[in-house]
Amino acid sequence: MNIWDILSDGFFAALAGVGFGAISDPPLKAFRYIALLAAIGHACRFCLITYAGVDISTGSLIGALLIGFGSLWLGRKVRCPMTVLYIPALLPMIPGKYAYNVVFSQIMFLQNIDSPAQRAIYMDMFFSNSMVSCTVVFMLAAGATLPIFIFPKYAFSLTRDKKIK
Amino acid sequence: MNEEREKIEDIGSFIAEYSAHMMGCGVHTSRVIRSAKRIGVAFGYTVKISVFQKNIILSLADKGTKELYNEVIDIPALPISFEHNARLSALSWETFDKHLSLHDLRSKYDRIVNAPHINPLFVLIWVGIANASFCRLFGGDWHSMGIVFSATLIGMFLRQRMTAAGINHYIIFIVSAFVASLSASTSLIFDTTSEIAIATSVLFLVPGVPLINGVIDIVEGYVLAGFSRLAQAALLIICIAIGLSFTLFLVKDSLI
Amino acid sequence: MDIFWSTISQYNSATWIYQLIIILIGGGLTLLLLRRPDRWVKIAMKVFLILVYLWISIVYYHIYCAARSYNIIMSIYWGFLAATWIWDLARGYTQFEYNRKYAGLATLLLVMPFLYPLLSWLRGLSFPEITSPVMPCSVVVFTFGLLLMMSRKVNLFIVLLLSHWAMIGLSKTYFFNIPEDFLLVATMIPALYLFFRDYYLRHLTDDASKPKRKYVNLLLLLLSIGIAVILIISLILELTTDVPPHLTHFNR
Repeated sequence: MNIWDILSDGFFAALAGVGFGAISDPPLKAFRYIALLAAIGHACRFCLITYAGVDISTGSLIGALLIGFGSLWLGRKVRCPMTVLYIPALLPMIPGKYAYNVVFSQIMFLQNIDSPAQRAIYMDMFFSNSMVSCTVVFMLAAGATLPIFIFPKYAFSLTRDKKIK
Repeated sequence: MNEEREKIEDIGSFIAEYSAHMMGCGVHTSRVIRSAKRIGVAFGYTVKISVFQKNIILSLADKGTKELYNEVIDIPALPISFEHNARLSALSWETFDKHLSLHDLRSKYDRIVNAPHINPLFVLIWVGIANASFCRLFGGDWHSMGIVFSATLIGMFLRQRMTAAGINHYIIFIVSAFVASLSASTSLIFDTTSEIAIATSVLFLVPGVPLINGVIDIVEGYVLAGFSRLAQAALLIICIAIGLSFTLFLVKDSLI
Repeated sequence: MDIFWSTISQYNSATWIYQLIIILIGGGLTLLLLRRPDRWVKIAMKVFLILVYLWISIVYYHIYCAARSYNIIMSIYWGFLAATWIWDLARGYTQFEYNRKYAGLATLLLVMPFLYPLLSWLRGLSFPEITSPVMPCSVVVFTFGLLLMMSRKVNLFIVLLLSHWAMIGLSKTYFFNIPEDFLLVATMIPALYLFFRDYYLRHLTDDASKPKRKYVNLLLLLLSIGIAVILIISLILELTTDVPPHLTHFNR
């Protein structure tokens, strides 16, 4: 287990989370928590996949759960809805490489439509990659949303001012 | 509170504008509905609300006088804003807890909505950094990170300018994806992880917010709204794929 | 390596007369633009730029660099740049309005293409295996200088495309030991900073910006410094590391 690999994975995930978050205009005070959540979630998935031999969709589910619970806890601090923190934090886990392979194999399938052997290879590549990308995206969203169902009262009043009650 | 109660049509038109704005700037359906109802309750009205992808049907009722107010509002197409999401949600709680008057509520709402959006240059630089980091996460080397960084700057700049010019967003996505991936494909001249560079160069376009909001809506039971968000996200992803495939057609012989 | 310098040598010996014509036209147009910025001069300048970019795309990359692998991608890229200039001409976007503020730096950038072969010569290279003012790197620097001299309204998209090319070209020539290239690109960084600052932050007050204007400016400044540091480090690395064995014929 290489601690340096894990740290650099978390670091780059944090940068990616902040950057993709910036597109959606989050509150400035939320940035540091987005970075923290993105780092923790992605590093967790990285560890699970690399060292524990877990597959990417289960790893994503567990990473997303971690981010979901983290945003429930941190959302209280900055008075932000959970989605504001966890959507940017989830984005670094989007399986871009698989999605790219889907597009690539689709083009190659259409290019090789006349040769059955090649065609079968790209068909297989298309389906396995789209299977992975769709499952991972669903797992990410569902995993991070689960805490809302477990603690609905708490999750719905994150933006409420604590002092008045 | 009952003596100087705000008129039902004033509250109704405010809630209509408020909820349409929230839907427009990328808040998931159940939160919009909860916040709208919360504001209604704060003024003593019952709010019934039904949300579709393009419009909201709203009706306010006064239990005592049996007064009714109905409105159908179009949802505007606004840029996604988490800042509005957070502050407008907080505003609904503030109204509920502090019993704000409609006048105060309206001025606070206007202040939130008219606050400056995040600086485009700030976004541009950060998106470049983010995509470069993304490239790293997928196993790209330092070299491809640099190429992805500047390719992303080009694509994102184009997207921002075209959005500002009011061009159809499907065209924006196709063109930005094409230009970004074309710029990244120059990495092919090096002995580097160029396939990863091309793959990551378009990822800044992925519509993450509608994608995840769509799944949230579906699992929370707003299946129609959820699917319409997912359909919208899917169309945008197809546009990214089209733009990317133009580049792949140009350079595919170098990739195999 | 051998391919790289032999393509340059062929290019120079076959086209030096045309290169000379291009330089003369470019210099003349630049002077005209400074003295008498009429409408037709501005249009002529854009047409000239389009032609030079097409020259780089077709003559330099497509014909003379055919021996290099993947020359076609560079050819497409420069063709795309020329197309962007055509769009700019059609829309009349870049205005070429003289801006006194950055005249010093702009002059330096405009002179750079001529210093470029001079530097190579000082390093002991000789014609035709030498860098010339009508090669992609010097064309990029010339465009930067021109835009900075006339920076009232700048097409930032072209600036971005050119910087992207500069980065690619630079990392490519890293292996071919051309420190002149680094010098050229280094002069572009302050220009890049000024372009972005003027484009995004000129009319901005602190209240109308999120985050505050000074923080955005700071981010931009840090980015420019970061790029400069990377450049300097690679320049030092290039100068201090021993020449790999396959490059030795060069120092004979």
